Amino acid sequence: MAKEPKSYDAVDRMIDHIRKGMGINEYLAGHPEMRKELAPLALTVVTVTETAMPKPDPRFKASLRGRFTKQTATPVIPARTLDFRKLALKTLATSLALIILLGSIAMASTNSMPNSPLYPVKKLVETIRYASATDGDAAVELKSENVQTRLKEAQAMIEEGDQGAAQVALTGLRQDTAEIYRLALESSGRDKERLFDKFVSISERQQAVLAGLLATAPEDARDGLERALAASKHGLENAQQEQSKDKQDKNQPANEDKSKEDNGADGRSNDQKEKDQQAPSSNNGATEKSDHGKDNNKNGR
Amino acid sequence: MDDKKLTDMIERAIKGDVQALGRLYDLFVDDIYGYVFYHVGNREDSEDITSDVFLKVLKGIKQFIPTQVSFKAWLFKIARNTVIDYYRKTSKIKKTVLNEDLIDSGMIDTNDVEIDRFTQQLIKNAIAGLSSDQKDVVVLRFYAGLKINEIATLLGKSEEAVMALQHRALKRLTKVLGGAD
Repeated sequence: MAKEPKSYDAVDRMIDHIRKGMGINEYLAGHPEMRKELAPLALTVVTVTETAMPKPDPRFKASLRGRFTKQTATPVIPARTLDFRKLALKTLATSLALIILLGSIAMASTNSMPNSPLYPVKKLVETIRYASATDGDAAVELKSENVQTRLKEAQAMIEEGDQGAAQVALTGLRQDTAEIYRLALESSGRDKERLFDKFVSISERQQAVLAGLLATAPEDARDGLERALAASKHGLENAQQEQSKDKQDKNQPANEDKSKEDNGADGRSNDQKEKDQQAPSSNNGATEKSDHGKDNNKNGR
Repeated sequence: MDDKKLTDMIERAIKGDVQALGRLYDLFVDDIYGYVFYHVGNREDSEDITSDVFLKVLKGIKQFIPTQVSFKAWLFKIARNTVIDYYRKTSKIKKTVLNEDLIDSGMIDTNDVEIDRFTQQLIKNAIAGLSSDQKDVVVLRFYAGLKINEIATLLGKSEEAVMALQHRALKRLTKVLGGAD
C-alpha cells in the first residue's frame, strides 16, 4: 500500500515533465526502479496530451463571443471616473451626515450645563459664533449674551449643589467679561466710549446678580462668588477710570484749541491785549468784542 | 500569455472592460467547450452548457477575487457546476460516448500528425468513458493545465485523492490503448 502514494507522486511529476515538452526517456532514467510501471503510463500521457480536445464549431464560437461581449456592452464608465464619482458621492454623503450630526449635537448642547458632557460643544459653538462676529458691537453683543448664560449656569449649579461646575461657570463669566473689557479698551473714539458704557452696564447688572446669589449661597459656593464679584468690581473700576481718562483726553485738545483761538493770530495773550487797550492803541472794537465773547464762552464751559 | 498580462486582463474584465472580457473568452472557450463535451458527449448540449458557463462568468466576474483562486480554476468550477446542473435537469447517464459524426465533420481538431486518427478517436472515447471524477481530473490536468491542488479545491477532495483518481484514470486509458495494466 505504501507503494501507491509514491507512484502517484511519480506519475504526477512525470505528467508535469511531459507537459513541459521534455522527453520520456530522460524522466524514466531518473526512476529506474519504477520504469516498468511508469513506461506504459508515460506513453498514455503523451498520447492524451497530444490528442486535441473537442473543439466548438467556429460559428457557434463567434456567435457566443458576440453575445458574451454584447451583454457587457452597457456603457462602461471608465474606472477613474467611476471611482471619482463614488468618492465624491461618499464625501458628500459623509459631509451631510456629519453636518446633520454636528447640528443635532450643537442643538442638544444649547441648554447644557457645565456638568454635562455636551458642555464643551456649547462652548465650541460660542467660540465659533464669536469668531464669526463682523464688528466690535456684534462681538460685545455675543459676549454679553455669554455673560448672561454663565450667570444662569452658575446659579443653576449652585442650586444643584455642584460647586465644581458652578466654579467652571464663574470662571467663564470672568473670562467673558474680561473679553468685553478688552474689546472696549482696544477700540477708539466714539466706539470706545459706547463699548465702555456697555461694559459698565453689564458689570453693574452682573454684580447685582452675583450679590443676590451670594446672599443665599451655601458656604462652599461663597468663595467662588466672592472672587467673581471682586473681579467684576475691579473691572468696573478700571472701566470707569478709562471713561474719565477718555473724557479728559477729549477735553484737553479742545482747551488747547480754545487757548490758541483766544491768543489770536498774533500770538499775544488776552492779558497783553487788555494792557494794550488801556494803553493808546490802534485796535478796533470788533476785535475787542470778539475776544470778550470767546472768553465768555470759555468760562461758560 | 504571461501571468502579469493575464492578471491585468482579468482586472480590466472585472471592471467591465468589454475588450478584456472578449480576450478572456478567446483564451478559454475551447478548453471549456472541450471539458463540457467530454462530459455530455454531444454538440448541442455542449454548446448550450458552454453558453451558460460564459453567461455565469459575466454575472459573477465582479465577485471574483483573484487572490483567492486562479481564474482558470474559477472558470472550470463554473463549468463543472453547470455540467452537474445539466445532469440533474436531464437525468442523463454520466457515462458518455463521443459522437463520431462530430469528428468526421471536422469539429474536432485532428491535425495532430503524431497520433493517428484512430488512436485519437480511441482516446477521446476512453476519456469520455471514464468516471465523472476521473474525467474531471484528466481534462483539468492534461488540457486545462490546472495543478493538483487547484483540482483538489475545485472538486472538494484531498490532493492525494486527486492523485489517486489521476493514477487510476491513466491506468484505465492505458488499458484501452492496449498497453500494460
